[in-house]
Amino acid sequence: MRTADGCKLFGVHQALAGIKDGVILFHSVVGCNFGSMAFHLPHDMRDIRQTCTVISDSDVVFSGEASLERAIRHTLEQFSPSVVFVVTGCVSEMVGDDIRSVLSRFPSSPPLLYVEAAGFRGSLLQGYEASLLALLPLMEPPRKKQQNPPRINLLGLGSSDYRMEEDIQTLGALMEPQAELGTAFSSCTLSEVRAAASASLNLVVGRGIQLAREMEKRFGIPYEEIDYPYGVLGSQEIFHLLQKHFGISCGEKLTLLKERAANQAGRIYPYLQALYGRPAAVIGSEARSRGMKRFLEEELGMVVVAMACREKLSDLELFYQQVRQSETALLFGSSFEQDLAEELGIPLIRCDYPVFDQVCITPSPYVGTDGTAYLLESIVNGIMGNRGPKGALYQ
Amino acid sequence: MKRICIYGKGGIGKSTTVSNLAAAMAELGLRVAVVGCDPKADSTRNLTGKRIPTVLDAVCGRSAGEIAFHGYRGILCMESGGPEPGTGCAGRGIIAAMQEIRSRGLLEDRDVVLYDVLGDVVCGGFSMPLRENIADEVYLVTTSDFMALYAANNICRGICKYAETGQIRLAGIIHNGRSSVDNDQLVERFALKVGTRVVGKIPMSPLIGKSEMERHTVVEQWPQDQVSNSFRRLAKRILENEDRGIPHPLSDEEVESLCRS
Repeated sequence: MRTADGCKLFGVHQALAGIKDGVILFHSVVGCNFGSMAFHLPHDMRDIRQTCTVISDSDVVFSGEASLERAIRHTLEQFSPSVVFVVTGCVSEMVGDDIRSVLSRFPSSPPLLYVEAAGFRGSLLQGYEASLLALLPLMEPPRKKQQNPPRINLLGLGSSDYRMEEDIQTLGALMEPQAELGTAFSSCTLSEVRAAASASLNLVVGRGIQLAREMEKRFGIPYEEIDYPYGVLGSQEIFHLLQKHFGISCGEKLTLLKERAANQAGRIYPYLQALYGRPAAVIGSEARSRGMKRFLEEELGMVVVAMACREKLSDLELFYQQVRQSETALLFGSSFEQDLAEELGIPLIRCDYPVFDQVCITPSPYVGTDGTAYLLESIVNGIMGNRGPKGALYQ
Repeated sequence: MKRICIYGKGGIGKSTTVSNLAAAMAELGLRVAVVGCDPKADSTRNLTGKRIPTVLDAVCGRSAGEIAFHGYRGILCMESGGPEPGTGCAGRGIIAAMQEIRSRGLLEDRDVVLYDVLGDVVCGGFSMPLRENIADEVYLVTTSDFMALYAANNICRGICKYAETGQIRLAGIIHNGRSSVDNDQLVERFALKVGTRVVGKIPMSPLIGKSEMERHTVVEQWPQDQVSNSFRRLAKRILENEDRGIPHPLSDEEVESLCRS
C-alpha cells in the first residue's frame, strides 16, 4: 500500500510556512524539519523560516520541555519573528510534553501558537485545517463592516504549492479594481492574518473550510467553496461570485479575458485540436483535481479517464492501476507521479503539491488569462518533448 | 546464570522482595546483580545504603558515567532511572537503560540477575525485560487483594505475548502476606488457574519497614528473625525451581469471580 495523502505535519507546514514574518519551530525529530523544507526549497531557497528542537533520546525519556524552551529562546533571538508556530510531531505528542505550560513561560508578544501535528493523528488535510483554525484567535474584529471595494480572502493555498505566488498575484489582479484581494492563506503577513476578519467574502479553494465556517459565525463573513480556478471557466466562476455577493458586473472583463485567451491559444490551434478526445489522468488535492478536470474536459475537449482526489484515496496504487489499465496519454499530478509517467512513457504535467523536481522563477501562473496560456504551453511542450508513442502529437 | 524478573502491582513489595532475595542469595556465596527498572530508582537503596546514580543519568551526561555499584555482600546494583513524575517517557527510558547495560556487558559474570520492574506491563518499555533475551523467568509478587491479583493476571497476559516468540516463562508467584485480610487459599487458587504455583510467602513483619528506614534489608538488619529466614527459604526455592511455563491468563470476569468466591 502507498499512501496518497501526506503527513499531518506537512499540512501544517503548508498552512503556516507562508506567513512571511512568522517562524515554524518543529518540536520533533530532525526528519520532520528536513522533509518539509525539502518540498519548500525549490520554490524559494532564500526563504527558510523554520527550525527544529531535534528531539533526542534524552528528550524522549526525560521530556523535551527544556529543549523546547531553549529552542523558543533561540528562535526569538535569531529570527525576531512576528509570530512563532510551535508545531509538535509524533514523538513529542506520544511522550506528552506539556507544550502550553512551556509557552506560558514567555511573554504574550510575539505570539507563540501551538499546533499539534502528530502524523498518527491526522492527514495532511487535517493538519492544514487545524492550522488555519489556530490562526483565528489572532484575527481582530473589524471596526468597519463594509469595505469598498470589497476585500476577498483566499483560503486553501499551500506555502509550497507549485506557482502559488504567481497564481495569487493573478487572482488579485483578476478581481481588481471592483474588488481587492484580502488575506491570501498561506502567503501573507501576520498583520494580514489579523486583518482577515475585515474581509467581505472568503473564497475557499478546497481547503480551509473550518476556518471559513468559524469566520462566518464570528465575524459574519460569508464563504464560497470553489475548485482551483484553472482556465477561463475558473476565472468566470470568480466573476460570477463577485456578481452574486456584491453585484459587481464583470461581463466586459470576461469578454476581454476570453478574447485574449483565444488569441493566445490561436497561435497553436492545430496542436490544440490534437488534444481533443485525448485521454488524460489527473491526481491532486480535491480542489485541484476537479478544477483541472473541468479545464481539460470543458475547455480543451480532452477525456479524463482516471481521476483521484488525494484526500479520498486510500491507496495510491489503486489510482496507478487505474491509469495503467487506461489509455492515458497525459498525466497531471505532483513530482511523485514521475515514476508512473516514465513507466508508461507519457508526459507528466506538474500541478499538484509537492513539486520538487522543477522550479518556477518567472511570473508564470497557471490561472487567469496568462495562466491558461502557460498551462497550455506546459501541456503542449510536455507532449512534444515526449518520445513515447502515447505522448506524441502526431499519430 | 539465572535471570529473573520480578513484576507485580505498584506498591506491592517488589523492591523489598528483590533486595532481600538478593541479600539472601549473596549470603549463599552467589554473585548477584539487581537492576531496578523503575524511574523512582529506589530498588537498590536497601542494598547500597544510598541512592545511586542511574544508567540514564550517565547516558545523558548527568553523572560521572559509572552505572554499576557494589552493595551488601558485593551485590552489583544498577538503577535504570527515568523522568520526573508526569513528564517524559519512562518506558523509553527502560529500553535505553537496558540497551546501555547490555552494551557494557556488566552482568556477564553474575550467577543471578534480578530485575525489579515497575508496576504493570503498561507499555512496550516496561515489557523490555520480558523480551530481547534479557530475562528467562518471571515471578509475580501479589497479596490476596483483588487489585493485586488483577494486576498479576494482567502481567500474565504480557508474559504470554512474549512467551510465544521468546524464552520468557512464568516461574511462580510470591505471596506477600501483608494484606489486612490474608487469604492463602485465594492466592493458591489463582496460581493454579493461571498454570503456576506459589513458591513462597513473606509474612507481615514490622521489622521490614524498620530496616528499610535504616536503608538496609531485613536479612542484613535482623538476620535471625523469622522473616529473614522466610526470605532465605524463598531464595533457595527460587534457585532450585525448574518449573517454568506459559501462563493461562484469566478473563477479567474470572478474576472477579475467583476473588468473590
